[in-house]
Amino acid sequence: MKPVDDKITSYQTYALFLMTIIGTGVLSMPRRMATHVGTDGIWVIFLSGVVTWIIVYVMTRLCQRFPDQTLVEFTEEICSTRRIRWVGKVGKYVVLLFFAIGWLFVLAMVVRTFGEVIVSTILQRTPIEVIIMSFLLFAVSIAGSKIELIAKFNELLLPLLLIPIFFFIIALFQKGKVINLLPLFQVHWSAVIAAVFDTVTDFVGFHTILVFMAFYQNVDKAVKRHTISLIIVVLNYWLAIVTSYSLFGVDELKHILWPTSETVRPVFVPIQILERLEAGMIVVWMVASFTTMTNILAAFVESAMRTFTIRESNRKWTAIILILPIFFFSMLPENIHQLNRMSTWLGRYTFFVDLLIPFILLMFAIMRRKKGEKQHEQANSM
Amino acid sequence: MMQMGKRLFRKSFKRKQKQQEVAEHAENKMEERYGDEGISSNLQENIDFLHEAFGKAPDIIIRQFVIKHREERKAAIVFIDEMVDKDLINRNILRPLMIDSEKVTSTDDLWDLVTERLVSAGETKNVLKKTEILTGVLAGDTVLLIDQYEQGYVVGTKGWATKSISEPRSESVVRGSREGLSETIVLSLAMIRRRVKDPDLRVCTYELGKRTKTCVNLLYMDGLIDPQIVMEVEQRLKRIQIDGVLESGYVEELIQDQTWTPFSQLQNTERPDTVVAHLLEGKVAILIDGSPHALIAPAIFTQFYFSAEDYYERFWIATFLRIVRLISFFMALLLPAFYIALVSFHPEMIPSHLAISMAAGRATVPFSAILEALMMELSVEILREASVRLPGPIGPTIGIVGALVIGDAAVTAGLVSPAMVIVVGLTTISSYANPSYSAAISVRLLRFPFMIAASVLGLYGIMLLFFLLCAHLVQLRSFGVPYMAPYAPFNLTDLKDSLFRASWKYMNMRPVTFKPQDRQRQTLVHKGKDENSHETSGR
Repeated sequence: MKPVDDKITSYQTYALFLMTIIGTGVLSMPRRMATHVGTDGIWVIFLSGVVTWIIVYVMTRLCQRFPDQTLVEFTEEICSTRRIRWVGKVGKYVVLLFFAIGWLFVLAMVVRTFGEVIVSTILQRTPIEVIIMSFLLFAVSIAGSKIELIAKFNELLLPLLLIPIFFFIIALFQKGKVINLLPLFQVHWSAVIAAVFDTVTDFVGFHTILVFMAFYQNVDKAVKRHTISLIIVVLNYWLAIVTSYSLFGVDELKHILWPTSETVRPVFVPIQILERLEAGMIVVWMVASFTTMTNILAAFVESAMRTFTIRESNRKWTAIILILPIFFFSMLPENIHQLNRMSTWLGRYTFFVDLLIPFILLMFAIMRRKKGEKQHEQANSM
Repeated sequence: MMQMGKRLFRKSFKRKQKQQEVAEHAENKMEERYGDEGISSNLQENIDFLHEAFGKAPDIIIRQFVIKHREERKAAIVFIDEMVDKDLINRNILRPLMIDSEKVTSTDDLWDLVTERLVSAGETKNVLKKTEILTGVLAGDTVLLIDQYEQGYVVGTKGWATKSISEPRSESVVRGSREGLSETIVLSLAMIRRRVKDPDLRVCTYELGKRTKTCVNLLYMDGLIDPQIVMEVEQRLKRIQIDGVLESGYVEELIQDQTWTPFSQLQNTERPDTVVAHLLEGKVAILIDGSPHALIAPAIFTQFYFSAEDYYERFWIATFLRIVRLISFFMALLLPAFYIALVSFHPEMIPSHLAISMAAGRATVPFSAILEALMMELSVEILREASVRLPGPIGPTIGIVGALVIGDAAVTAGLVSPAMVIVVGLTTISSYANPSYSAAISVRLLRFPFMIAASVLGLYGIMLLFFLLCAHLVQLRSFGVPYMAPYAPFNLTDLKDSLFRASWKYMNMRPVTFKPQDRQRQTLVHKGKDENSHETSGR
């Protein structure tokens, strides 16, 4: 029987967007915010949210112009000229190369950060290679399926993301001190820019919409949906920042490696089933990182398959081939310090790629009056 | 992995098809040997044919007699002993033909006289082919043959001894009907008919099994169900080419969507009321002769965790019980795995007082946590199997002996820790808290991979396997319906009957998941006020 309801529904849109964005970064974000801007992190996070929103907006508009097409198809269409055939192909490959490098390194950093957290919190004596490899293998077995299934997978796990919010709120009420959140507006604007740069990486993964939007049931309301999901993400981050700020204070925060999971440590829950609740936090965070990983990888696999027109039956093999360089790159940094430096640089790179390329593409598309055709007739008739 | 499995399966499927062609050749012996051969006009020839076809089986009874009407004519009836209602044969076939026929003074042709005036039975049929005699006799009917006529007369005389309607063993409820479906398909069908007095209830009959010729009925509500589902089920049923169908399990495995999964994609039930409830939600039911278990398709994950009683008791308790079942599901699946992970990887997560007492309990245990857990789980599985197979009254005894005596002795001997006994006991009880046996089996099986994952990578391993399980569940489909509906794809209106059951007052629509053509369940749309209370006070 042919599945008919396989396009990504509106609820799945939210699930995909939220689960992709909330990822590994959230554990260390309060610390990085504190080192850059001190107490002003409370409002700077909204600034990074706005910057991200601008990029998401440009990308969404771009995808809306070309319904049912992914990054791969519409870059070729935008770049191609009638007279010289190869210009479109070359343009496509250049653009995709920029994205591919970004994605490879992002995935490598995600998986490495994940491994570092696991090694430092719950599996102290396990070699990091084992954790990274098992993580990648399981991610491949899921990311090597169709985008629609990825969407459903995210949908099923989405409710788990609600759990930390309770933790945060309990922690805030029990141990939070308002004095730790003050004073505000003390920071120089250059530090703010640096902080924004740094924390935009915590929204990593939003560029997957360049691929996923081709599978949306309804792209017309995409801007609204993306905006709402982004607001939810920002509020979530804000809650994490406020909680860790008010619990630890800025100065202490700078020395805590994974402050977000530490926030639950001082929490006292009357019914004590498990001591050290941060394990629960780590479990939820595992869900978040795993979905970030699978989603970006799935988008990557999909665009690789479309670029090189790989047959559907080879999807799993494509994913397996892609994890080899990811594993290699993830083992490059020798310690957490190098890892942090690398991810800072990577953040800047992806920031510019994500900001500039879609913007340029959109400009070109508007100037050259290129537009995709709607193929939604069959979808509406059912 | 799944795809590889599929590919493997496809290959073997092709091979099977080839085998089938060969088998078909042999199996359709009956049709092939006698083909279109008509009934002979010579009675003795027909009787010889029957003797040969049945290989002189002792339970085939061929009664020869003489019909006296104007002239004496030889005749015979054929039936199988104990498959027919003998009273009916004596009273309504033999008596009129042998005795009453003399009194009738009609000048009609003898055949017309016999069929129109003498044989007084309701269900009759004229047949012309020899094979039709065989199928008629095998089905429990009586075939009348008269000399010099090239036709036979099949009289419906089915009447074998059946078990009386009994209580459903596997799905007992406190409140609700005590009737269970019967092994005799017509009886089951009647039970369902009695509950839905609607001509829209369609019953399609199939004959499955080349040799067993098992009668299979497909039931659905016309104009309510999504016709695509019916088409799909019909197609899959027609594809079955097996030689015998003895239980609904055969059909279930032959028509399910995916073979490589521990989860069943068709629900089976013994309760006629459950069958009707599902029919009214826009699903099909498949009844199989000889089995008291009806199949329900399509089936989604959540419905395996619903009991019929959920809909009969008030919705508060139903909701509460569903939450309890969800917890028991996770306990049955993950509790031993969590124990292993906590003991061998994350002892710091156990509250300190508990950790101390647990460590004291484990001090004498010579095995690692995983070995201890596997041993205990395995022995519980053995106990379970033993108590199921043992005859009636001894079964529970084994349970008590096994669980109490051996468990206690093992703890005192220091072979297992007391905590492990508690974990295993809780796990076993949790898996029994599941209303559906087929769903409980899948959880029982999945527990072991989780335990192994926990012993290798601790909590992290459990999570990884959990992700894989989620991804697997999400890609399952049952007759085109997503298995994890209404959670993925998410559907707000269907959540009324998911983990929570809303009051019947608010469930005005049928679940969207099954795409019913007629969505309305009740016309009265309540808006939250208690209209009923005013009415009763007025009376």
